Amino acid sequence: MRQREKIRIHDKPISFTLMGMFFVSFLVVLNVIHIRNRQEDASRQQEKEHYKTEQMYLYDSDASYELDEPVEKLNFQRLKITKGNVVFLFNTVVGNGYSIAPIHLAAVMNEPLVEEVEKGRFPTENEIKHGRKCVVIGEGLDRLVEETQNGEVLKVEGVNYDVLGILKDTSGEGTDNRVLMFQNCYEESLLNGLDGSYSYFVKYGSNVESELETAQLLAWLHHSIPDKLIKESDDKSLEEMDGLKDMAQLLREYIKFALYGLFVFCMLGCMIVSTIWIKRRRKEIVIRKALGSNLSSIVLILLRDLGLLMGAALLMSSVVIGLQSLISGELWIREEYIVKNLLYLLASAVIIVLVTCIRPFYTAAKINPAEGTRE
Amino acid sequence: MITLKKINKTYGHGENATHALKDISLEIQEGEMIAIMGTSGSGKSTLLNILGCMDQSDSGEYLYREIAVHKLNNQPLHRFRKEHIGFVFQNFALMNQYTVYENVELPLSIQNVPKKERKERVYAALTQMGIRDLAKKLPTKISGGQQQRCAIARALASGNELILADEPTGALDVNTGNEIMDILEELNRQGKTIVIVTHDPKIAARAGRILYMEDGRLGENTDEFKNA
Repeated sequence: MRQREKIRIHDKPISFTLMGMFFVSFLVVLNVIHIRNRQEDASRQQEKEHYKTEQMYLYDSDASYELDEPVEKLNFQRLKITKGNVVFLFNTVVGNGYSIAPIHLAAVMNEPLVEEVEKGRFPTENEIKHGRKCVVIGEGLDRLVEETQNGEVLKVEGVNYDVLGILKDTSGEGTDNRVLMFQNCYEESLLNGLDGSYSYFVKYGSNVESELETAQLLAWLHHSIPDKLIKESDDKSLEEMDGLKDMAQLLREYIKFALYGLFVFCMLGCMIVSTIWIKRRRKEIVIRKALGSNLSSIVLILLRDLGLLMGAALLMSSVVIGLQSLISGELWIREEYIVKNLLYLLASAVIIVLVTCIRPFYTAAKINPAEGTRE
Repeated sequence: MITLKKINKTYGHGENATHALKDISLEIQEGEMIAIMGTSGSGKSTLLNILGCMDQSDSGEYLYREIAVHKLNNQPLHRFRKEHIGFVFQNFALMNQYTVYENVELPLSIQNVPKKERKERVYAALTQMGIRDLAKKLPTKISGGQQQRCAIARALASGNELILADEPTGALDVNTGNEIMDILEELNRQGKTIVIVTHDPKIAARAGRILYMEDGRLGENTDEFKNA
């Protein structure tokens, strides 16, 4: 059974300096972990928003649905239509082709606007996503519907749109001449002959309830921005919204970069101090070798002593981080990232050990006891 | 007990090569006390290092009781050294951050001797050296003579049958040096084989046999070198 020697701190000034370098290194690592966690949070948030922008919620948010499930009711007030997806809702005047009359969204915002179909259905998310040319029309346009081998179509500006459903006529007069068409589903040429002032677009960011987006919508309403400009203003508004987030992200990147630099500096420091630490223990290594100790035993003793210093440094840095957490109210290492964080910490510890040990242990290995005992 | 046959050792390469040992042949009997004398640079310490397995010869044979030491390397060599050979150095080679007790205990730790037995052997060695009361003191707090006694106690405690002493009195005054030699003589009487390297003829005279080294060669007397 291996007999252990008493643990002692050799050359206290150098040992404590080395421990100090380890302490700073671990502090840096723990702060980098914290920043990475924050970045992960931001990225997940972005992903959620991105997911929202990609997904199209057509229904009451309380309802659950499958992606391809057809529905017979659309609640526009709770509609969370994503960026790039716009709803046309316009009236037609039968007999003169059609002209577009606006549906005031302000009215929509103040009163619930729910559309239901009498017959058929609204388009599914997939159909909208893939830009199927389809519409849901008012009963008054029923006589304009043409029968084709693929079903009923409504020709608008020479383009056939599949009629998926007939809107329920709440007026009861049979003069519902509305056409409901999602942006993805329209033909580009539809806009060419239109007077923009008659085009109103419902366009949502991620949440209709946000003030900015309401103002944005109203601005669109009043200024009748054509589609391509809507996209620009949308990007601009999103830019404003994301501006702050980007700044925070940029700041985090700078801090992380600075911390990486500090870590490299600490590693250099560890390497230098550990080399001095080993040189100060040269006599001990020589004597051990002279008394019959092999290199691996000596290395184990040195590793044990280094491990002691590193352990103390890690403990101290954990205490400091704990205090930082208390003061800032933020957890540095969080449960949802615990595995990643621990792996990162472990990898950093391995790097610290390697950097600290390689050169000094090489020095120790080269020590010739025959020469050393004559010093 | 020990046989050296045509041992050669060279340091360096090419023009800077130093031929430290030239065809050294030597026999040491068990229980002998031998002194190797020579001037600085004659190769006596190199010979001691070869005997102590702290260095390996370039050629020749080193036999220790039928063990071909020259063929050992790494682990077997370390094991051989810690089991058979004790060292006493001119500068004492004590660890200043360890107490006298811990210094004497060190080789026993390296040999993985059980703790209880270590304690017994350490105190026995300290008692024999007359420094038992200094067990808890640091080497920096004791005299040179006491430090050397500690170093000898270390060699004694490890139970090694061969003790190699490299200028054991070199850092001591005359009286203390004589005391140390008294101790070594006593150990020799107890059966230890002792090889002392020294440049001091008075110290060498206390050995049972004196060998001379000059320019890497070993002889029974200096006349041998004149004829070489």
